[in-house]
Amino acid sequence: MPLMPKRVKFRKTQRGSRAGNAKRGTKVSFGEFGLQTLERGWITNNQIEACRIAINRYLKRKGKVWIRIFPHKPVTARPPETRMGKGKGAPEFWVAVVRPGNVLFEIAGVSETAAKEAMRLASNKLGVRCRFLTR
Amino acid sequence: MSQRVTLKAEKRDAVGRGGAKRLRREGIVPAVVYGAEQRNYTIQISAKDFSDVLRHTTSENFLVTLEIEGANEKSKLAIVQDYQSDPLSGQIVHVDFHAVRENEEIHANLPIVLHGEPIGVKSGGLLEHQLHNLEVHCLPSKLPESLELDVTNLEVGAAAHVSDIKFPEGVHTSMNQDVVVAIVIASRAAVAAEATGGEAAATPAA
Repeated sequence: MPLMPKRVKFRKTQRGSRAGNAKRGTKVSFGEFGLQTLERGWITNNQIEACRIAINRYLKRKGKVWIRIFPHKPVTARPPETRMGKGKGAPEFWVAVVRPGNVLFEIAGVSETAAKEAMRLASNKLGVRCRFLTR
Repeated sequence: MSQRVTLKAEKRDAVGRGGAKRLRREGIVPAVVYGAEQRNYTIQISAKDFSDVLRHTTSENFLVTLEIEGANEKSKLAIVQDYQSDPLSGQIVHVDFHAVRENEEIHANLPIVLHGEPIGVKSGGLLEHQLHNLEVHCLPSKLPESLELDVTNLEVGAAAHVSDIKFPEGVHTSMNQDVVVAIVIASRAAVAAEATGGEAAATPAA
């Protein structure tokens, strides 16, 4: 089951603004260690899932993991080799808009070395630069 | 008891976004002092001094003695009520000082520090720290730096509550005593291993 909203008011949205830095969700609030983004971007539901799997696989299902972002935004795409016009494309995937400072994942119940390595593996799945945070 | 530090401050005239930005460029942090029995006024402190103090304290609410140049009251006892910092650079952006009196009770948010390795963790459980800070009431002279909780005796499924915290003399909280501070839960790996072990045991019998 892909990570996506259960129900949305509008199926298709415009791209919106990604300007500025994160104002909320910038601290490690639940766990002991976190992964913070240093760049702005869209993180797709598949990337979030890949990160989750990478972290859980490395930690061998020990510890606890929190995902602090959610892909609320639908992204549409046009089928290949279609002519322009005929309206906006169909929703293809979902993204979470992240701004510099957002904490993406948190971990608790494991050693710092293990958490650091798990976060490194997770950040390799993302298109934004990240850094490791401690509470 | 928490350490009481002295911070040098000056009365501030530069207000607003422009003035505050100018100060921050010079390594100065804009701050404000407020309290029940005084008018609010703006001050400025050295960013380096404040960062040094923060680095050596575990609590975010700690007592300081402000030595304010240019103010009517030269020395003022205050608690750091709040501070804002840049999430990326970590630079301190603004500090709120709450002026207090020695003989009046204050409210402060103190970190809860867990001690010991629970029995449940040794047998494969996971210690989940759920309540990290607790609001306490006490006189300024009695304010501890942190609250300590021993979790050594927790088994899998057991929880430590607010009532288990040993408060120093003169310190109390208004938080419900039944609130869970930390709990030892069975880790997913242990649950999965137990399930496969159970299945393996059941298969030869069947």
